[in-house]
Amino acid sequence: MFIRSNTLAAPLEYARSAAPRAPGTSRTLHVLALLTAIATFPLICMGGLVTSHHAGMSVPDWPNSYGYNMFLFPPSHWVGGILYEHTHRLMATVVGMLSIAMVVWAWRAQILGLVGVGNVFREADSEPKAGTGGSTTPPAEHEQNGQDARHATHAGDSTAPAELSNWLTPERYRWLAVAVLGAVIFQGVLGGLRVVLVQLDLAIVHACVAQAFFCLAACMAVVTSRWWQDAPDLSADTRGRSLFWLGSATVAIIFLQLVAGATMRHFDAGLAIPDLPLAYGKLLPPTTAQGLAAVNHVRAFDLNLDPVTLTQLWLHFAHRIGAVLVTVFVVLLSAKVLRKHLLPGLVVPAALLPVLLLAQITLGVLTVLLRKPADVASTHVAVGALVLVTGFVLTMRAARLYLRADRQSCQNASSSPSYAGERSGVRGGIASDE
Amino acid sequence: MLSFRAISIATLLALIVGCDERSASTSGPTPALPPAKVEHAGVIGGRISLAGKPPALPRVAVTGDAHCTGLHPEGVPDESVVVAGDGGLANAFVYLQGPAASDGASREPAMIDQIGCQYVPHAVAVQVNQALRVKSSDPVLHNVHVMGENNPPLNLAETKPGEQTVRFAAADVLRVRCDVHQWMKAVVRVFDNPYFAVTGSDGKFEIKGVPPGEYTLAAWHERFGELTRKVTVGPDGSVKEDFTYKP
Repeated sequence: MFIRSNTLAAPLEYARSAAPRAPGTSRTLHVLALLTAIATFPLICMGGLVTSHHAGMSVPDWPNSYGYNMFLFPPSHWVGGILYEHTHRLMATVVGMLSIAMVVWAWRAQILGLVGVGNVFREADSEPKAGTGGSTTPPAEHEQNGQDARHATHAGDSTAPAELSNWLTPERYRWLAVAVLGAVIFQGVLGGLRVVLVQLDLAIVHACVAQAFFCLAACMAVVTSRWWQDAPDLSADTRGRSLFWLGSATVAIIFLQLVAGATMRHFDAGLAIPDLPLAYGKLLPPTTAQGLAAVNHVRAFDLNLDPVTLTQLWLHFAHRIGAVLVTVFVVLLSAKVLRKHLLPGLVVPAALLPVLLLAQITLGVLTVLLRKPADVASTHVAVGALVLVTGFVLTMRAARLYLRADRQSCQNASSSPSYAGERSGVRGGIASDE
Repeated sequence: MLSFRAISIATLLALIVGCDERSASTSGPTPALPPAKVEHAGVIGGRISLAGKPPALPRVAVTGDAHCTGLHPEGVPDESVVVAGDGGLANAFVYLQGPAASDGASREPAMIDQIGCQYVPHAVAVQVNQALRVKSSDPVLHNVHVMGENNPPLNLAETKPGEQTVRFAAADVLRVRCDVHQWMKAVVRVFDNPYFAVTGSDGKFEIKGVPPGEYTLAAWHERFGELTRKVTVGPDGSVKEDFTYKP
């Protein structure tokens, strides 16, 4: 049984599977999804720079830039904070264009069908036909997929995991692509409203949605990946469920920590507590007006820092508490994977997480000790996003391995003519393990 | 499609609302109330100072804009604390707490200029609804980003030399910054009565036309916070009050 093979070597079998891609999940779609996710990272980095340089409002209009069409804004005006904000906007359009390309590719059969030239694609890209045991990929896709195409031409021999059809149908991939595009549009509008309404609150929401979007883009990249299709069904291993829930909790904690960080940064609370690891020499920040006055006196006369409010102090402190929680959860998650779930797809993110965490903590400490230099603070934001998305990918993959579609629905699917053929088939490289 | 339409409509509405907000804040003169005639008014004067050694603030680097960098290759002084040789503290606000609120629409407009990639002056006091002329004497792009607690935020584009007029409807502490040139910062305080002043480079202030009575006199500095004191102004009287911020 595969689930007994908790060693590094044994589970690598399925990673080399040459099974055909599931219908609707072409390599092109995966590449586009991957590019979208990858392009999101520098976009978040630039967003971090925008905030660190207080440049979010340096271009007061939107979608224009000082009255110019944003694509025609003269480079001679890209100075100071405008450079960061305008570049951020342009980079956002790159992510938007990639998302559009992804949606167009995912829906190409339907689009071509609308104009009357896509009958073949529409036929090929539709749900599996009864009795065929699966569907083929579109001819155009075959050419691009190389070896996959050769498999796919034998529609009746398709060995795509039945659960994949049950879990993520081509239709769902398509709608996931639409969700990515919708999210990037929403995020762009949010950023624009932050500018035209001059609302700091929206800037915080914009920063948080950016992290969520990064996860969504990563989600699209993961579910269209070869790993996702070839992943075995380990749902019989009940330990996997706890891994999934631990991963989910970790992702939730990291996200909340990023929300706290974004709020702290936008409320100028990054240096509200300028010493580490204590807070003005004490375990807790002050809670009274008198305590606050004492703190602000120290800031004004000893530290040359602007006064702060209790809200700022406790926002900063919450971010520190969040760092402790994130550390605990990340260590637990990584340890659990590396000790009990040494599986391809889980090992790398599990090993990467503590490394990123260590870098992130170091950057956080440096941000405070060096008085919040923009490049360090922005790198802190960027690595925070990487911690989140790494935990997210790990959790998604754990879900894929251990939380396959519920048994009942699988059974229902197996009894339906559409999937009967697939379910009786061999599941690629994992057959021998089982 | 429905969601896209909803987003489009929401965006359009937001843009309209945003335009209204901005235009409301930068509108022309509003009907002015005649200033109240004060008989036997007194004067409150004094000096705000900083005790001890003034903080050694490093100069703020001027980067990212060749025009500004050319003007200030060595950077600009940090204006958050400006102390005279004898300890006089500039840019501190002094004001009365307690007088009845009134409208300042009829007062002479105040002005803040963007000149040489700096705000001049660094600290400006206005009364509620008093006009504030926001001027740019620079040939470079500036934005004037105004943030407070009690007034809607404001972000003005200054694309060329010129000026815009803004008014604030509520008493507030407004932080002003240019997001293009992050070293450009200023403070505007809005008061709901006409009895306020800003200290000059020597730390001295004078509040004229104060009706006889008992008040709380307050001094506020963006770095050092607020100090208060009870004062009594007699008919045609003159009161001298000094404040000292002590480490």
